Amino acid sequence: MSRLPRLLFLLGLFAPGAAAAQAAPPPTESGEELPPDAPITKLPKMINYVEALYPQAALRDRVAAKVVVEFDIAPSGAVENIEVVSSSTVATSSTAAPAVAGIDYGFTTSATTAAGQLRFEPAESNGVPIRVRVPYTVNFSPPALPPPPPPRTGTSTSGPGEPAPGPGIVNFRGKVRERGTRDPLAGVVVTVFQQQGDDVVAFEATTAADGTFEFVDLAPGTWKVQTDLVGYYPARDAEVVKPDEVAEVTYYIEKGAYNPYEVVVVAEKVIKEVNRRTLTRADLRVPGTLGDPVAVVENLPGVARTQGGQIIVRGSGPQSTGVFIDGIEVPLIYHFGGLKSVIPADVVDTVDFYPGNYGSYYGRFTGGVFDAHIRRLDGEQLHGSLDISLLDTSLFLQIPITKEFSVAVGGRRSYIDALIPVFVPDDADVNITSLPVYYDYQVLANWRPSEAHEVRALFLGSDDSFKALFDNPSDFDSQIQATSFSFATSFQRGILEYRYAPSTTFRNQLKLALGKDNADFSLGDQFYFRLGVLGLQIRENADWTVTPWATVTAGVDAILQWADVNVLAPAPPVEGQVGGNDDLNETIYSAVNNAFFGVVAPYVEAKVDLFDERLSLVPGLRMDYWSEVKSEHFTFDPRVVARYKLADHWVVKGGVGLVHEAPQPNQLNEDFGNPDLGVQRAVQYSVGGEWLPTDFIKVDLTFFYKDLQRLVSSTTAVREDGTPLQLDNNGTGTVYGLELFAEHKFNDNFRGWLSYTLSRATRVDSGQTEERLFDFDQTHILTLVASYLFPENWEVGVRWRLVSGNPYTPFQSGVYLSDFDRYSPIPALTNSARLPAFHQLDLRVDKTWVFTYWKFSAYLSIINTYNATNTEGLNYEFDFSKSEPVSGFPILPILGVKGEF
Amino acid sequence: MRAKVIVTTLLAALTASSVASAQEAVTLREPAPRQGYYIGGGTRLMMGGGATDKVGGLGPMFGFGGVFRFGQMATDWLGLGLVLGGGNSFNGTWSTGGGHLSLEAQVKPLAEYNLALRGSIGLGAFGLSRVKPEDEREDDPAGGLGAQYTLGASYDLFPFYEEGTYKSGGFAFTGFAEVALLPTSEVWTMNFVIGIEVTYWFGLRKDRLELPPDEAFKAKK
Repeated sequence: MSRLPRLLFLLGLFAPGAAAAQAAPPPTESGEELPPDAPITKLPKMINYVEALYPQAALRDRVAAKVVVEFDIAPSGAVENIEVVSSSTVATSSTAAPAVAGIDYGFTTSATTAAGQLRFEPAESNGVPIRVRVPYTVNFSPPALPPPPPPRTGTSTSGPGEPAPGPGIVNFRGKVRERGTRDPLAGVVVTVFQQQGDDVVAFEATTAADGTFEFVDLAPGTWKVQTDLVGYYPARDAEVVKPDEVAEVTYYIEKGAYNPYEVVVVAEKVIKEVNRRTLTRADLRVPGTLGDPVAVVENLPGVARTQGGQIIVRGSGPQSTGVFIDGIEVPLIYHFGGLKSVIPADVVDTVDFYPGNYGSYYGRFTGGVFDAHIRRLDGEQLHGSLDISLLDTSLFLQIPITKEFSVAVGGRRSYIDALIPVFVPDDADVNITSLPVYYDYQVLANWRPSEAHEVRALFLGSDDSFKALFDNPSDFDSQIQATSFSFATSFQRGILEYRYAPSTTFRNQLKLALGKDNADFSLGDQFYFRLGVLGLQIRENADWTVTPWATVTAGVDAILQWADVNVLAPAPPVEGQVGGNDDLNETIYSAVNNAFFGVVAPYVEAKVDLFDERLSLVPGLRMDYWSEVKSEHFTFDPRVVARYKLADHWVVKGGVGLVHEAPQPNQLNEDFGNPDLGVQRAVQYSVGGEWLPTDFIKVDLTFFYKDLQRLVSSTTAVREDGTPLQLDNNGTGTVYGLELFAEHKFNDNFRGWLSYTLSRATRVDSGQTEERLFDFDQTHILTLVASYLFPENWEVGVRWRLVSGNPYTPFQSGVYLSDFDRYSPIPALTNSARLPAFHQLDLRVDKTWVFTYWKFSAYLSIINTYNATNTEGLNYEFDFSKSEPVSGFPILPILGVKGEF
Repeated sequence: MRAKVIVTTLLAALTASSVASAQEAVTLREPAPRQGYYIGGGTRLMMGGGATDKVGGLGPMFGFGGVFRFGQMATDWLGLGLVLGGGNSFNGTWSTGGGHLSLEAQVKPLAEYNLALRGSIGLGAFGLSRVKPEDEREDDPAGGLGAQYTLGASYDLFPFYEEGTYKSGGFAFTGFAEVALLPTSEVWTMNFVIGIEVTYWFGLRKDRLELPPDEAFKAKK
């Protein structure tokens, strides 16, 4: 900045400050360099003066201040690069609080805000506008006190600590609240004034923490009233004060902008992982995701794009990513396999996503971990919301019973059942007897009797169902004889949580969850799958800060389940297996009653900060006991993560860890799979760095490598007795790549992020030597998310994605099977072809109307805004000789509305 | 060195802006007619054409339709809203009918004139058929659905607005002209549209206006 000139201003040019000039020409806006001795031939001239506002917080102490700033006057005349040089305050009132110095009254903020709005004719050097740097002084003086009142009339304020001049009688009082939320507002300056003869008599009060204010002994008559609070529109009205009566009013004042991204952070989470992405409820407003908390995760690095509601993380299958609600595992995260997640956004507080190298608190998944944290109830006011969209309606209500105890209820129901009859003609071959419907419900209770104790209860449930009859089942497949199809899934979880934090150095959390899961699919009597599971999950976790630089965490994570399964179906294909069983009548029957599955995992982890907290080491160890894996009951997962703060804005980090994952229950079933299967494992490595140039910009680059071992793989091998093994643990896999995440948190009305993943995921199947691509390998995944908050509560957001197509196995041709009277495909090499790249722009516009007691929002989301044609699969002719692409969604506008209070 | 100055300048600018945004004062505006929410509707004439892979060009077509708009001026110069339009066009051979639902943005570049530049993007759909049923062929395109883009300008005339009355909002006659493009998988169409609407501007509430005391502090009724 020393190359930029400093200018001398006369007081007449520049009020209320002055500046000194030195010559040193800068580059011009056009990029030309001026010679170093180029003269300043014209001084800048102010054309728009903006007065700095006297901060409300300083009114009580009646503080004067002087703030000196420096800024550039750009060749365009705009003010840029404002820096505070000095700031000093002086108390002017004899009743001021003693410690004026050190209190942030907001003078620097007010000065810089005003400076930023100044406009100038720029300085020039021989006719060329140039950039100059000037100092600028702002002097703050408290507003003049009202004239001394006549006898028996006094000025009174409601601020605490301000003595009333006499025993006045309150005859005008009120409350100031925020329009739309009804929150009381503190620090609002309420001014009353009245014309009395030739004079204007005015009095002032400042609202207290509960938003109340009062005036004493106002003369009867009409008083003009105005409220002032920075960032809010003023209320201006006229009130009548009558003798022997107390006038009471409530003003609801509107904020300049209702920022949906204002989040109250209760406690900063300690970073113990290489990568943890935390999304707040406000971050869930990503275009194209319909505000769904799970769908938003797909826009983060390391997550593949899918159509069917699966979560594919760093080259691992959907069953390898754990889904949790507050640390409790849940079986289903989506309704109908991808429509909407089972957790409405209103119930969610934050979402934590770990693409890999997660800590010892989690385990059993070689992919990633997704954990949605349910909101904590604040016990302040009655709040509620009603959200209506194209697919469903949800309701949420929070009721404070006492300051320590609050309850909330929520529920959601779809109305696809009402929409389908509109689109399905009456003479269709399908007769839907029970239209698809989903609903989910939540009951929350929060009791906080003291700072050290907190009890929370959650009850969550979800239900999907659908039934149909069809006249010609052979239209779907010649082997299907059943004329009915039914689908039903449900789960319920009751979670009781007790938190005990007697001090800042110890915290304990105990969770008990009891749940029931049901699934029922059937294609008439030809195929069916019926599952019922009763489960108990226990989580005990204790954190102990042993020394200021060392914290130890220990706990137990246990799941106990009893299952009844009744299945008649062909063997399901495993990942990488093309097609499946040609003969759908070759079904397998299996019935299991009261089968027990149990996993118990004690773990311990430490966080050690060394070298003035520059280096942070997190070693951990987790042991899992698997009751159902006969060949390997115990596994051990050592893990370590290191973070080193290189410089003020730079962090390097790395981690290595071992994770085990049990085979799926159907893979261990003796009818469908191999009960002698062992536990799969993955060694995860990652190394990277973070750059944080400001407190709202973060750039994160991570390189990762994952070595998958002992994967369950289809095999043709047989046992000694000649029975086929069907599955074994001889599959392996490799995943490597890099993830770039550049995030701009909400600041200056803008937020967004760029996410890029470059990766390669391969597998080697049992008995094979050649590598093949993983079914969901996507080489490039680029996502750009941006949103801007305009005035009048408008928000415009965009999301653009460019993703490599999924690999697929092309069919070379078909062979006629006379036994089944149909063609069977002849596949080429597994995953040897790739679908075309996917690209799509989604747009979302939100508008909020603020009323006195509530807010109403509407949004229009346009998915696939420029109607890109993306190939999601291939449809083959009956003889597999030709294929045509199956396109994804065309342009789709979706409207939604929400009311909240 | 220049690059270093630029980087340093950028970082300092970001820092400065984070301080400035901590407490943003609201700005009260002078009353004017073109303020606040707007709702309007009117009629339009269309001239255009299209082309398909199957039958080539459709030839020039003329038609008429209607339009409905709803939105708000978020700032003095930027407005956002929705537009719903529909209409029919035809020539001797072809007849089309369609409509669109779009998000619209408008920019008012000059403070003293009620001229606005408008653009929209949204869902458009239309059907296509031959005027004479006996000319119909099996491979005739049926129409299409896709993203419709429009770009144009409008001018609001407020014949009933009185200067100096501190009123915000009012009735306007709005003339507009725009170009609309709708590419679909089978057919693309482009139309030049002119029309006239009646628009009502709701104006701003008095707590957002710079008003003299007598206007600002009227007693509650």
